[in-house]
Amino acid sequence: MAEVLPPDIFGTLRLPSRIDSWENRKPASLAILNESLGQSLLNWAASVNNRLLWISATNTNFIWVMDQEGVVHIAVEELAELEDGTKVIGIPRRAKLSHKSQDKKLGHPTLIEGRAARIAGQLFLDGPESGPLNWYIDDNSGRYCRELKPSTENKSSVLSLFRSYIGGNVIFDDGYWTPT
Amino acid sequence: MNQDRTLDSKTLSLEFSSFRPFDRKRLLAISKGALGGGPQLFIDALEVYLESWANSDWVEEYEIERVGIWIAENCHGLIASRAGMLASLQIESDRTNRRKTYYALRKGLTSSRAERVARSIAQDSELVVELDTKTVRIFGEVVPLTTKEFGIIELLSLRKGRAVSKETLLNYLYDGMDRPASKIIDVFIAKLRRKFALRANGKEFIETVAGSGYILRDSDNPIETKINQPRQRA
Repeated sequence: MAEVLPPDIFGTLRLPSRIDSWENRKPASLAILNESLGQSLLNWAASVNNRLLWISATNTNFIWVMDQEGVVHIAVEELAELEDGTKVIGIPRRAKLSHKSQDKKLGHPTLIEGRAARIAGQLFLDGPESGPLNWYIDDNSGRYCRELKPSTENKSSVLSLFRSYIGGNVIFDDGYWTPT
Repeated sequence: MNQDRTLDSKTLSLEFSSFRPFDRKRLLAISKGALGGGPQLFIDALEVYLESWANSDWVEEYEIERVGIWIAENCHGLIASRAGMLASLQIESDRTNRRKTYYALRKGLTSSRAERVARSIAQDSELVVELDTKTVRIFGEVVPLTTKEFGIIELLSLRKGRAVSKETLLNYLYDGMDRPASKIIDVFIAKLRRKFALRANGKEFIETVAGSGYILRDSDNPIETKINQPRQRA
């Protein structure tokens, strides 16, 4: 059973520092993190036992935002437009296919229509080449977490929340360490 | 490691863009000359990554700062120094996004040093064990540990100042199931000591108590144990 925590321990409300012109709609994959979705994510990670699924799983990036009430909105990181301006719907962004600057994507603000959030980041599976994968979260949202950085308590609280939904092995990736 | 991967600066530059934990592991290995790479390939890939931002019509400075901090905290001083030179050559460019890109790199490279110093001064403990996040920090720097290694430091920190026997540690780690020989505890302790010593200028935190087991040192600087208790529903 997921623990319900008071939203203020996840961070002060902050508005996005920028919303790009192409970020005028929600991602097609938008969902709310709840027990059912958490179980699906847990099952997906557990099913990755071959190269086919490993490639698929490690090329997917989820972005999430916690709103004022503590609800976590989550979506696949989707493209908004191709380089020639063609609008695309429900197309995942491939992190290693192109440099980030070339992608016009639907970023964190699109998950909550540009409203204020408490904390935001990414959720992804990572692990050694063809080896077991682990869920990671981070607070890597340039729009919500750059100016006002989440505290250790905020990060710890959101980690506990994700663990309550998708299992105790979720790791918080602060970006500054390297796996051994 | 997958041998199909191409080892060229353009391909490698995308790992700076993705920058997940195991991308960073690969980048670090290449910076040390492993996997057929070396410092030059690392710097070339970094430059390709930065140039893509510099020539773009928008810049995600937050991403670039993170790369700078990671380089300062993880890579050899020579690499950090060369990255700093890249930044200093471009930082006064009259093109806004180029200036922003290299300024963000320099900010990451330098703020991390400043933050490390600040952390080492502000931190009232050299070793912090955060039980809730399963994180161990030395002077604020996260020490990557395996589950079993964390289990050992977790129990030692919960009983800090008191010796904990190998038998107790074995029970704690393996819960009575398929227990290996107690020698395994010595192996874990040795690995922990090496990881801690690397980050604490050789300082010892775990002492062997003959005939009793191991103890987490608790003398000059208190070892801090943090447990973040989730608030209960009203």
